[in-house]
Amino acid sequence: MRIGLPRALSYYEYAPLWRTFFEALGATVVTSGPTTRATLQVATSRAAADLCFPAKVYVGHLLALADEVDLIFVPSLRRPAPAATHCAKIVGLPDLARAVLPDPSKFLEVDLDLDKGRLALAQAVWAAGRPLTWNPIQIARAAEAAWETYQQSRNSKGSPPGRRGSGRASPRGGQLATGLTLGVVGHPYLLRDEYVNQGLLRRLEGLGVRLLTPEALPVGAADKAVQDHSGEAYWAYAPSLLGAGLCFLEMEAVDGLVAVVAFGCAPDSGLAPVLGQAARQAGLPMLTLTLDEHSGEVGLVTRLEAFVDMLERKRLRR
Amino acid sequence: MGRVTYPHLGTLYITAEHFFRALGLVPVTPPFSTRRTLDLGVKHCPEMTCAPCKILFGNYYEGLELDADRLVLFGGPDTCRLGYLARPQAERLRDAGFQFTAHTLSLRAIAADILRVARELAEPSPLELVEAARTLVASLSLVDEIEQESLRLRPRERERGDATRLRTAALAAARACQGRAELQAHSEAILTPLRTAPRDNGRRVFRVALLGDAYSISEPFFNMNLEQQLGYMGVEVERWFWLSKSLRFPILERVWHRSEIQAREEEVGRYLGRDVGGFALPSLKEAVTFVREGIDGLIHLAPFNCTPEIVAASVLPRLARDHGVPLLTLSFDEHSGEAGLVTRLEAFVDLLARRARGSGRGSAGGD
Repeated sequence: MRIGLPRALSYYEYAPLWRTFFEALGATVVTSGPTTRATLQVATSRAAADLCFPAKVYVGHLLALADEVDLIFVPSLRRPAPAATHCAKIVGLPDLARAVLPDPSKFLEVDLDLDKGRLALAQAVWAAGRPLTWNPIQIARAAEAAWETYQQSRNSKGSPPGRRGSGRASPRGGQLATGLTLGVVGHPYLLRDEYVNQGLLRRLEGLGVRLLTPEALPVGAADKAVQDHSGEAYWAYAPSLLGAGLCFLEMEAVDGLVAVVAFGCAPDSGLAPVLGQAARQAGLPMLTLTLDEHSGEVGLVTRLEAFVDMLERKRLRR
Repeated sequence: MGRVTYPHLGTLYITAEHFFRALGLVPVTPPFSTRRTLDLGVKHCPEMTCAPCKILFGNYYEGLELDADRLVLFGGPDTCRLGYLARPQAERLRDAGFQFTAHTLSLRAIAADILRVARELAEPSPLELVEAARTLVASLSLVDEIEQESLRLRPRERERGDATRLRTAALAAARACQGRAELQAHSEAILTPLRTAPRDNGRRVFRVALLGDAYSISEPFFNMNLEQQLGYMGVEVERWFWLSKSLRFPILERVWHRSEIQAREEEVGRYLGRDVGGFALPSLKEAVTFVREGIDGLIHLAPFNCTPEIVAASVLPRLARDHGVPLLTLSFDEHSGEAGLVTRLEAFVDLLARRARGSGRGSAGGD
């Protein structure tokens, strides 16, 4: 059986988990290709007009997979931690999927809510494996293998703590012409989709800037930063934007922050200003980039160049 | 004595005054929302927050300007961006120089949450708390009943403006009641003028249900008096959301109509299978009830960019199509213009009238 994973939203965090699970049960896993212009064109013609940009990207990937596979895996993620919730579109993803592709037999819908306890989790895992096998033991083994792979993929990304004085560069390198280090924060589906962010990371490196992304932080550091700053997280995606940003503000080597947010994103609309306030208090400049389906490349380049120029002047004055 | 202020949500201020007085507090109703209210929100709130967040912020600000020292904010878990914003909003108000204690009230679970907030605000004895709760129920029921009667009367009124005039008088009378005993004693007298007003029973009246989030439905400043506009066009408006309804625990009803409720939940599940926060799921459940009862049209209201309501807006067209009921989706923000709204409402009512001529639907007479 061919199972499709749309390359959007939670894919960027959980792909190793889903992939290992389905492959262990003998399925062929098909991923949609990288986002292109066509992906978005298809999506904007089918999705509700004021759906947020990342959800539109998801719809595009979903439609690209529709004829390629037997089942498309569409998870509904609610609470990865007790007090934090995902936004309505990530919780209601299967419902959005059925609204654009009204054929429920095409979707493998699974509700994951870690707050509901072990039994609910076991039921969700069973529901996910059920189209592939009757054998609960096989499903349990696949789930264990998937969890292990996921943990490994998380740990391999994190590097040792880079607190004061030891700001670590991303493995991307760059020619380090300026000697500036920037923390780039945002949800994984924005930072890791080159089309969506218009090659932001590449462009910054091209300007000779060292980059730190949330992935460079040790596992759990961003969650803790959110906890220390505002108590409960409320939004499940708070760590990748607010948490990572707060961690970077603590590092002496960081010269500035770039916050990447999506137009129409409810969590971002609240989190980015809170991070901006923290950056002001720390005396560090922050650039907020809002991505949408109409963003022009030229505007982005100009803003990045101006921001880097400003940081450089500031550094030379010191 | 503590002075407590709270935001506007339609006629909620009347009930808030009764409730907080019963708790021994001084209620401070902020001025009705105006352009200034919105401008305060626009000035102090992050750009990408929704318009209701901004208007609510303006209400908080204008309430605190009247020397309130306790503030009730809307928020709570599983709501939407409002749930996250309550805290930064309170901080922003403190930065602006106000001194107060902040108390967050969950709009979604108002019945369960209001007593917790009451205990936070005052230190009522159990007896006082029970009395306050009973006052709350009495006041909300009366106020919502006044609203419902005026919605029923407006499309049938003899003279344009009768319903609005009688509603205003009734609300003022309800507001003037001191305590639960007076509310209960006067409620019939307050409602009678609305119930017995002369009606023009020859007019064709369409029944249209308002769906969407509680704020857009209940706050006339935000939806630009949509209900009144529709009423004048000969539409009897039904709301899915009534605060008085959210205070009821219909246990018996759930037992008696079990199969009916199950069938309804099953049907909703085909469109929206899970609670995505905000009012998306409860509003869709009522939408199914409305279309099963044979409503003439549905109007979905949402603030521009409202996260849960966009999910609802994505699935509603299919529900409406499956039942053959016309659907109008309206999205409001701080720049919405009234002329554009009226044009769209008129076009929608025309559509209802054309359909009725074709199929004999729509109810002539005052049923």
